[in-house]
Formats: sequence, C-alpha cells, structure tokens
Amino acid sequence: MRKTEILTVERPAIGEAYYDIRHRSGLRVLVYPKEGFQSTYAVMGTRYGSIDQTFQRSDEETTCTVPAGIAHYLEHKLFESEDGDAFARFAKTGASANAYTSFDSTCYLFSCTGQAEENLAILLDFVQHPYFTDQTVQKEQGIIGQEIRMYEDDPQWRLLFNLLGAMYRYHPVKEDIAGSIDSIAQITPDLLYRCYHTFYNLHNMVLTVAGNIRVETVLAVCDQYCQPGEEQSVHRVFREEPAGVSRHFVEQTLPVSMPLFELGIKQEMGPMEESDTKTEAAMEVLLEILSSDASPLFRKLLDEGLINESTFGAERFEGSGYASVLFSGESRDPKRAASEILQAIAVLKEKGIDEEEFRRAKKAVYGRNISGLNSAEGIANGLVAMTLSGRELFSYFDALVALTQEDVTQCLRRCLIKNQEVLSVIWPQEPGQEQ
Amino acid sequence: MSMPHTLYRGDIDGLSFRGIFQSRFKTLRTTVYFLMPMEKEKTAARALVPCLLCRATRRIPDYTEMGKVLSGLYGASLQADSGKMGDMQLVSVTVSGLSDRCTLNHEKISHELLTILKEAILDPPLDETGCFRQEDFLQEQRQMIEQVKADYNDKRLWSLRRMQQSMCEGEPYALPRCGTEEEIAALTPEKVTKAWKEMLQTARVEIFSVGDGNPDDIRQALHGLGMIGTGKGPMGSRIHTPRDTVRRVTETDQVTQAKMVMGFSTGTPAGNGAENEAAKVMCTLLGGSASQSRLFRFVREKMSLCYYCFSRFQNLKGIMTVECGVEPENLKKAEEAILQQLQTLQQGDFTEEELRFAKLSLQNMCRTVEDYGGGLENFYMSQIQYDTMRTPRQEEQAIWQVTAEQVQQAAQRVKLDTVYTLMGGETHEEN
Repeated sequence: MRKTEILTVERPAIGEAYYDIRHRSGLRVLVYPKEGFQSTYAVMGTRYGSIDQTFQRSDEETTCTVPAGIAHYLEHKLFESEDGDAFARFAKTGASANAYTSFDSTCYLFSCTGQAEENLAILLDFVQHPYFTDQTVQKEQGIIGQEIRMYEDDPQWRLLFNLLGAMYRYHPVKEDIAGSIDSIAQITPDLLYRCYHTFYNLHNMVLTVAGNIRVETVLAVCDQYCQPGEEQSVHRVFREEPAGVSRHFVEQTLPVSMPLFELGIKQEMGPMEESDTKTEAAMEVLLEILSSDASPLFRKLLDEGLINESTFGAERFEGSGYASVLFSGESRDPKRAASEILQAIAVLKEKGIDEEEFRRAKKAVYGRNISGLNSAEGIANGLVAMTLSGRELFSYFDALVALTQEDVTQCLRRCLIKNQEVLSVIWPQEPGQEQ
Repeated sequence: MSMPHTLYRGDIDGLSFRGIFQSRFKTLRTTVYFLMPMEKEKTAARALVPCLLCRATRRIPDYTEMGKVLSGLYGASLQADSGKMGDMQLVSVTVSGLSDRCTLNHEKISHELLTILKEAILDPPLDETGCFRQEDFLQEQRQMIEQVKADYNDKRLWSLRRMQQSMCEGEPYALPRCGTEEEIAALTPEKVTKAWKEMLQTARVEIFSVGDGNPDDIRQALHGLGMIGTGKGPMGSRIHTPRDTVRRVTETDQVTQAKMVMGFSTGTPAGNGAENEAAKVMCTLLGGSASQSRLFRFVREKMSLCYYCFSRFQNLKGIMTVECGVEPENLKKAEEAILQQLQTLQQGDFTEEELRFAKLSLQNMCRTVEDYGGGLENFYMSQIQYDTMRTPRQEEQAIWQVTAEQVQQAAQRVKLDTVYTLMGGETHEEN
C-alpha cells in the first residue's frame, strides 16, 4: 500500500507556508494553517466540469456522451443521501456549506468556526456517497430550471456565452454550465452514477483546508474517510477545434440601460492543452500594462467617453483546451471601444514594452497577489483551482518576481494575435422593440 | 489559536478614529467616511464629491499620473464610494495597499498612501475660480450617470430597490443613493465644490483603519484632516411606518423569470436591543441561513419553486425583505408558501433544534467576521447609528440569550407591507 507523503511548501520572505500531502488513498491534500484565524475554510474539488461531456474510462471499451449540464446537476444532487441531506448535517455544527461547478471543476466547500474535524468528516463522507433516485432527480429539475432562467435574464452571462459561442465551433466551453431546460430533462440517476463513478475518484480530486486548522487533524480525518482505491484514468474526448474564430461579431438585445461589450481574443490551444505558470504570470502583468488605469489605452477610452471606470476590465479566461483574454465594460459605442483596444495592442507590439511601465506593472501585480493571502477563503479556492490545473501558488509568486520584460513581450506576441478577436454586444431595447 | 481583535478607539484632530491593527494582515486600509442625512436636493452633488476627490490631487494633478503612482506603490488603490445607510447618506474615500512589512525590499509605502488620502480629501486640483476643474467634473458626471442607469441591468437588485422605493415612499430611505439621472445631469462644478466644502464642515466624520499598521503613524500622517470641521454632524434613521393595507406594485419588462420582493415591517426600533436580536434570529430561521432556513427547505427544496428564496433584515429601518425568482405562473403559489412559513413561526410552530441551528449559523458568522478586515469594518460601521456598539463576541452572546418565545413574538410583530413583482409582459409591442 502507498504511504502518505507530506511536503512543506514555504516562502519565509512573505512568512507563509503550507503542507502538500499525497494521501495514501490517492487524494491530494493541501493544508494551509493561518495563525490567528478563527475560521476554517475547506474545499474538496474534482477535475470534472461542464466541458467534460464526452469521455472514455480506462476500464471501458467505448466513449460515452452525456447531456450538457450534468456535472452541475450532479453537484446539486450529491448533497442528498438516503438519510437526509448534507446541509442538515452541517447545520448541527453551524458550518456554512456550499458548492460550485465551473467549466473544468466541481467544488464542495464549508466554512466553520469550530468542530473542524466533524465538518471535514461530513464533507469527505457526503462527497464519497452518492445517492440518486428517480424522485430526487426529478425534483431538482424545477430548482435548476429556475437557476437557468435566472441566468437567461443576466446580461453579463449572456454576453459571455454569446462570445464563447462565436469563438468556438465545437469546444463545450461554449455551452452554459447548467445546460438547458431540454438537456437537463434527459438526466437520469443512471447517468449521474455513471459520471460520478468516472470522475469522483480520489486520484482525480483535491482537498484544501485553510485558516484555523492543524495538519494532524486533516490527516486523521482523511485516514478514516478516504480508503485507497484503484487508480482509474479517464480519457476526455474533445473534437479538434479549427483555428480562428467562428464569427467576429455577435449581438443580442436585452433590457439594459446602455450597450455592454466583451471583446475576446482567442489563443489557439491543442484539444487538452493547458497554459503554464510563466505564461499566466506574464499575462497578468501584460494586462496590467495594457489596460490598467495607468495605461494610455484606459486614458484614451475614458477621455473619449467610450468606457466607465466602474465596469471596464480585462481578464484572462483559460482552461483545458481553451484560452483567451477578455476586455469588457459598458460603452455607448462598443465597436469603437473594441477598435481602440485592438489598436492599443498593435501599438504595444510595434513600440515594445517600456522598461518603467514593466517594473511598475510587476510591482502592482505582486502587491495584489500578496494581498490575497489575507483571506482563508481566497487561499482555499485558489489552491484547489491551481492544483486541478497543475499549478502551484508560491511558484506563481516566484514566476512573477522572476519575470523579465522579454517574457511579457513574448506573451504579447504569442497570445494576442490579429484576427482572433470576437466582439460580443448586448444592445438596449429601442422603445417599441421586442427581442 | 484564535486571537479576537481589540477595537482601537481614538481621535485624529478631534475626529472619531477607530481601527483594528493586527500583524496577520498583509495590507493596511484606511477609510474616511462622511455621513449626512439624505436630502433630495443634495444627494447627487454629495455623491459625486468622492469621485472627484479620488481622481487627482494638487500634488499629483493628472489622473493617469495618479494611476502610475498607485501602481508603483504595489498596486495600491484610492477608491470613492457613495451609498445609503438607513436614512443617512454615506460618502467615503479609501486608500488601501500592501503593508510595509510585505513589500519586496521592505519599502515604507504606508506614509505616502495616507498622505495621498489626506491630500485627496483636502487638497484637490481646482481651477482659478476655486472650483473643481471642468474636465474632471464632466468625466465623473458622465460616469456617475452611467452607473446610476446601470442599476437597471441587474434585475434582482433592481427589483429590491424598486420594492424599497415603493415601500418607503416619502421617507429619505426611498431616495436613490446617488440621486437621479436628471439630478446628476443638472450639477455644475460650482455646485459640487460647494457640496465638498459643506461636507468637510458639517458632516459626521468617521475614520476607520484595518490591517497591519500603527495608529500613531496613521494619526501623524492624517494630521490636518480635522482642521476644517468638527466631524460631529447629526446622525440617525427612523424606522419605517407600517402601512394599513398591503401595497402591490407590478412592473413588466423583457424577463423570462419573474422576480418577487416582499417587504415586511418588523415593528422593532433600530439598535442592539433584545427585540432586534430576536428579529435577527427569526429572520435567519425563516430565510437567512442559506441551507437550513424554512424558505430554503420548503419553498426551494420541497416545493421546487425557486432557485433563490431568502430573507434579509434591515435593522436601521425595521424592515425584513424576502426575495425570490419564480416562473410567472407560480407567483401566487410562492407568495402563499412564504407567508405560510412566516405564519408557522408566528404560531410558535418550530423546534428547539431549528432554533439552535439558526443561532449556530449566526454564531458562525460572528466568529468568521473576525478573520476578514472588510467584514469587521462593516460590522462596526453598521452599528454607527445605534446608541451602543458591540463586538462580534458580545453579539454572539446576545444571540444565545434569545428564547423561542421571543422569536415567536418577533414573528408576530412582522407585518406584510409591500409586494413588488417584475415579470415579462406587454410593455413593448411586438414587431
């Protein structure tokens, strides 16, 4: 039998450390104690999200395709067991529990200020014990149906999915995480069990605990609740995504006060390819140089009345087989705002990155990352996300500090390429107009 | 391992100064709050003041230059905020950055940041007539109009605001937090400059710091802030006067899901009294804690009517709201189910265990707030209009004192006042 291995990851310069544990059961466990904290924040995540719709298990002969939204549906249903739901168990300790499903992961979490051991036991127990019946699965259709409806009315959500739909021809990232009213109607207990047994394997999962916690406590609970299982692998199947974007422009009319825009620039990725630490660090600095409120672009957009400070922003959007940069905000003239952004990228490529601007941006990004260590919640969720995508938190800080001007220049040339853009716009309704 | 904080209490040139100083934080954040009673004709000008103050200072007179200075100080921020707290308008300027201990070469940045904060408030760049510069004014005015208009985009928040406006019509609380679009459009640099000076002289001022810092350093850096006014302006909110008959407001728009917000008067005075505590526990039991409340268990889980359905207690106004999103044809059913749950609490039809769960959930919140600087600041600032101020630990003790009988009485004092509904419908003609 495998033995549990414990590594200490530390950065004395910032006074931070955590434990990286490979538990004998196959589960990866990260424990990040924070001196002086009262609360404990724990997240258990599996590398299974809305994009995992077609897959083949190592012990099966054929691939299987499941309805869109099933990972999210499973997340809702996993809280139930034969003798009541996990929420009721957490209520007894006063812990606050929740869960979320993203494109490539599903996470279950709690935050408590006492009885950390009991709460960890509940978390590990309910996540490992699925219980789905026709009746309970049926009941959830109303609730998730209303969740889907709520997002249909959310202009920011529509803006993003319209954009992804224009950016990708086949990649399932373009589909709503919760699926559609039609797709969820096809979900059965059998399908849920099938997905569960494929992706909820301890070898495919991570547990992180941050805040008021001792590593011994976490280990004791894991020893009791996590039994060594057979390592089973799963092959995810993605259709080859053609180069370029499907459409450069997509629009919709909704009840909003002024136009909303999102400009995405697609980066080509292989079917399962993921970005690396250095690229992500360089990208964060690049976006700071390009569009922070100290940038010439921001100044120009603001002076011309094309954006406002409270809504304009740039972010990285990446995962398994997809990567892009998204600029978004409100604008009275989205097409002009987008063209100014593309122009600023072209100018930066041509003129190169200024030494002074680079240094400043790097400091700003470093400062904001270190500030994030104030929050046990931020740490626990960040560690899960990074671990599931094969990255490590402190190495990310190291990469930021080690970053050179050349690294950022390369990132600019490699990731922000011409003709890879999609502009998504939500227009306000004209009086007397119905969508 | 736990280390409850001590609330520092002092003054800066006679202005109220509170703080929580702990070396476990990686940051230091200081906010200067200005509180003034909401007045319709003054709201817009006052709301625009902090936006102009955060744009530039006489020493750093250019907006982009200010961005560069803050960026070079490890991505620090200078932020404006305007909001409402009960019947008071709350305007603030905040500076926030990495603590000196966490900078790469242990550079001291806090003094410079606090100096920027002080200069932003007292020494903005003005034109030759002593007013905010026209260009700065126009830029911030446009942005505030857009921000106010954007409230309409989020239909959940929009519905909540529309309910509050309908319920409290005629009360200062019903006024929009930054004024109306028309009121902002009618502003001039002169009017906003006047509002700025008046604010410094007459507003109630509260300075709050949270993080890895030292009160003496902050006092020294901010010295001069209290030279203009006493910071002792009037403060207070009045609870909502309950209606005799329920007011129903239904509006239509292009939405697929109907949003319903129910407003109840709680019949409790604002503050930290036993009745408030009972109302808080009752509200948590009804729909406050995410997963164990009545509304979650019955309206969502059992009846499968909603994805979200929860209640909130607004202590300063004596108001409880219940919000949910439902299919339009289920509106009536949802309203009946919500009222039915309230009714069971009024009849005392709840178990000791349920009550304990609600208290445990509130206890968890009181303890968790200790770990989050922003949370602690909000915790104390939300009590600023009460007669007494409590620590999270005292709040926790007060929660455990609440009896089942008091919860039942609190539920009995609750009265439905206003029901606001937003649903898809005939507002627009089909093409």
